[in-house]
Amino acid sequence: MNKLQEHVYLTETILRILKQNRIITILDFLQEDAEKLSTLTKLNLSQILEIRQAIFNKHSANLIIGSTLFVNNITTKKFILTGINSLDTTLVSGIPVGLITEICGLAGSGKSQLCMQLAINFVKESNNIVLYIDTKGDFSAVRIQKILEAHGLSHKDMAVILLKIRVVYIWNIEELIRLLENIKKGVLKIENLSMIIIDSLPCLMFQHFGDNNNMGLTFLNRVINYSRYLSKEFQIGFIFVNIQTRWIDQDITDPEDTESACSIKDLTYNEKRTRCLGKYWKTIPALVIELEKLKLETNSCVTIKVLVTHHINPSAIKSCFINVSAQGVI
Amino acid sequence: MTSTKCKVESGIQLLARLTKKTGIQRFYPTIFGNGPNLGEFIEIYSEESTACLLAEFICESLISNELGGPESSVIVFNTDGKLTLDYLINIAKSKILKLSNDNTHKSSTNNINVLLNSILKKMFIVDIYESTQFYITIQNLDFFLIKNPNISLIIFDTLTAFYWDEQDLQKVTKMDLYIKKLLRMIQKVVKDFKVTVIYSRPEYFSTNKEPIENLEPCCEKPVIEQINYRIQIVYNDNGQNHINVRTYDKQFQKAFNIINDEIIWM
Repeated sequence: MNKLQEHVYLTETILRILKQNRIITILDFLQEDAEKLSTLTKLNLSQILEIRQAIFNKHSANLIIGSTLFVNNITTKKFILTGINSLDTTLVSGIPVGLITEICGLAGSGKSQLCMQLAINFVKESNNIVLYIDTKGDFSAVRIQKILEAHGLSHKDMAVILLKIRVVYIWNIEELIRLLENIKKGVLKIENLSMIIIDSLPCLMFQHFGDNNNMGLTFLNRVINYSRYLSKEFQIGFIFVNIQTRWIDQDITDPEDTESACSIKDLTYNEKRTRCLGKYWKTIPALVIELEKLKLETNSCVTIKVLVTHHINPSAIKSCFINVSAQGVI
Repeated sequence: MTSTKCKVESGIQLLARLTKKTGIQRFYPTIFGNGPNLGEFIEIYSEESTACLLAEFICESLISNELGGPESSVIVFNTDGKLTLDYLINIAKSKILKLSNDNTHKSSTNNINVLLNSILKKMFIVDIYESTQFYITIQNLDFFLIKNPNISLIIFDTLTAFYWDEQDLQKVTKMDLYIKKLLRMIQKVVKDFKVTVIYSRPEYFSTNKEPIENLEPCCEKPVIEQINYRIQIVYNDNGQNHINVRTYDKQFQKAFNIINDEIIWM
């Protein structure tokens, strides 16, 4: 919480008096009775109210009427098409703008491949710019070039597309927070920014695993706050890549519970998958795209099953298939 | 001798007392029966999203008298960011369409747009992205309520969005205490205004290993730091979802499906 700062009426002496009375932050000041503040500071009531108003003007959010939002909403972009037909059909309109999307899957399920393809598709045939935040150091410009070559693009066209995909390497979560903060404050200006892809978030979070003081969650909360702001106010899509872990759950059926009781207990093994980053993260994305690599694999193509869950109806999971080949993800 | 003691009230209290306000009692009898009463607090929690039920409450409370609704105004504290305007508009449109047909109103596109526009004029949204902004905006609520006296419902989606951001190396506030602290702060600001408050919290957000439903029971009347309704949303893979509603004297379950993003009660 921001501390009280010097103001026309709040001199150093008054701030010291307030501090002695445990009025340190702007919230403490707002919560205190105006008459008591007046007595403590020897300021008159109207001066106290003036300070309060200055705090509200600076820090309070604005109340926006729904009808005004509706008018602004008519012209705003709501979705960005992925350019992958089966995925766009399943997502109905594409990746939502103003909301957080998660792409998750086991290691090697095609998450980064999909992200690189999305980056190409978002910038191709538009002025859009994609900010690709690589936390693993495995963004491959060569792979992108090969995909574009397979589509018969000229070197000039390839260069134009690659120019519109801005890649940033980030190695810890503090750096990520600084980057997002700089975009928010306009220190880093990216014209026509339409999508931010963070591949991947667990790499940054795992550095804080085992922290007793939960610093990792504090950082994660900040990343989410900035992401919400940027996606909403800058009207962009936000994709976070997350990984899944799998474990085997051993269910032992009790012979007394079954009609056909047998002397040896039956062992049933169920594979369970969990999205990383814990319970807090689980409630954050509005859209979760889960990738599952199928065992059917030919030399030239890998098929991936895509499961899509929207937060409004988590029990309705839609699915489709995408293929990864030399031509990219189609 | 007669007592000379008299009750002193502030300008805000006087204004709040004299203001005529649309109540939202009986606005959603499926869940609240004759309630909720002004001054009551309602908690909604789920392992997944609470957006469908919040959107349902917001849109239902905005429906005009003409269509049989309470026609109240609503403030939405949007800290979670997932309750989008498009989603609310879709739900509101669907409700208007159904009620217009029921009330044998002409449901032409023009009519629906007029009704929708009048509904949206009564909805206020506050987008909040950081902790300081959240607390200061709560303190500023009395100004919003004085300026818009028809507001009867305040929604916080969600109350816990900045919890981890506020924790530091030295001290971690217990989750239940954090909620209570926020409730106390909100109750202090809104106590003079006749409003009902609904807030959401994730199901994991509890200090105790005990489930949330085993925490302190609901109260009959508005009490500081306490709630009057607790609603759990449970989603099932087969689409047969349900809510568990708990009040001070009863608890019941109600099944629902979500069709075209809208809640359909079974």
